[in-house]
Amino acid sequence: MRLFRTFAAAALFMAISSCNAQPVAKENSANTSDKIEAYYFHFTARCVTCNTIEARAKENLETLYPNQFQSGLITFQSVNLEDPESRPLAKRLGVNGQSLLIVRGDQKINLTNEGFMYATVKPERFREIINEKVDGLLIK
Amino acid sequence: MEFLTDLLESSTLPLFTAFVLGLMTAVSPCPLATNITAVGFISRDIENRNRVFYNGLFYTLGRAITYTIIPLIIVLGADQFRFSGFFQRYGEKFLGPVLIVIGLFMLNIIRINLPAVKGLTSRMQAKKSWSYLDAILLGLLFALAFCPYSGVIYFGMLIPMTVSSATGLYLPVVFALATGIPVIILAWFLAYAVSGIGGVYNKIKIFELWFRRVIAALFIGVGIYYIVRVYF
Repeated sequence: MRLFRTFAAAALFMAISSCNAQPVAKENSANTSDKIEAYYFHFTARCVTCNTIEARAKENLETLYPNQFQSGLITFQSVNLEDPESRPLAKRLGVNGQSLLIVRGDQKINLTNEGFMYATVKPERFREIINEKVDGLLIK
Repeated sequence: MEFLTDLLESSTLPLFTAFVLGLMTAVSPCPLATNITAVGFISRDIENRNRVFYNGLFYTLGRAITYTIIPLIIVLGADQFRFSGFFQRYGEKFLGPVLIVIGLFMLNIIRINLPAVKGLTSRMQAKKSWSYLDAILLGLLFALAFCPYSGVIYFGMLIPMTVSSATGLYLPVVFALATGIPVIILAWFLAYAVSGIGGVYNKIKIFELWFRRVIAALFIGVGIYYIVRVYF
């Protein structure tokens, strides 16, 4: 029953939000097209690997791009998908499950699989991948 | 784990990749609690090593059924991202209460006298006549309990490989086999070690009774662990 209610609420929310989704997306992309935003989406129950990915991703961005990070050109945000306030952002970025995303304007790079493969066992490889992807976004 | 990551990187064969992904899921700390419970459940017929081995195979078959049905539903038209989000969100939430209920059944604390479930209840309570169906059902259930790590391995890596071609549907079976192998080996070793002790002291029946109680307690303990982990 509770599950049904959750579904009903989600369906209602999507029906309402789809009406004005377009202007919001436009407004956001206009404001953030120069910025590189990294997001780690997760649920309330975490695991060791998930926490490590989040910590390493943030640490790598901070140390690889200290100037851009301090000036706010590159940001990192951890988002709990079970928090109702995260829904508009998750919907805008098309996120349903755990994800590590790097976003600039309309461009979206999904590094979830790389994070789960490398962050704990090969952190230097994970760092290289982040470096390569963010460099690619900075050039464009 | 580093060894498995190296294997995964060098693999060009989908079959092998699926197998390595299964091993990575099985040995990761994330689903450890369910694996310990599964080892206990599979080795409950501790006096009979062959039976323990078959239990393990049927448990793996249960996992294979779940892992194959999910991509089938996706191929038939379900939205892959919504579907995976649903399992990642709710997979662990139902597991705690279900484990506690199974544990209470095993300890004979819950008795249901409805005719429809009477057969099931009496079978659960009978000490000798465990059917392999229980092992299949446990495999089905545990495969559904995606933890954050196994959720990404399965939905992020195995499912895209599986649904990208019509012949990919054998990959979940290989994946399931790899997730089941460490559990089967551990259960079999446990049975092997214990039956050696039992042969000497001839007290295996008493031990078995207590062993089943310990397994029931294990189910309840792991169930409580999941409830605390997910809800508090």
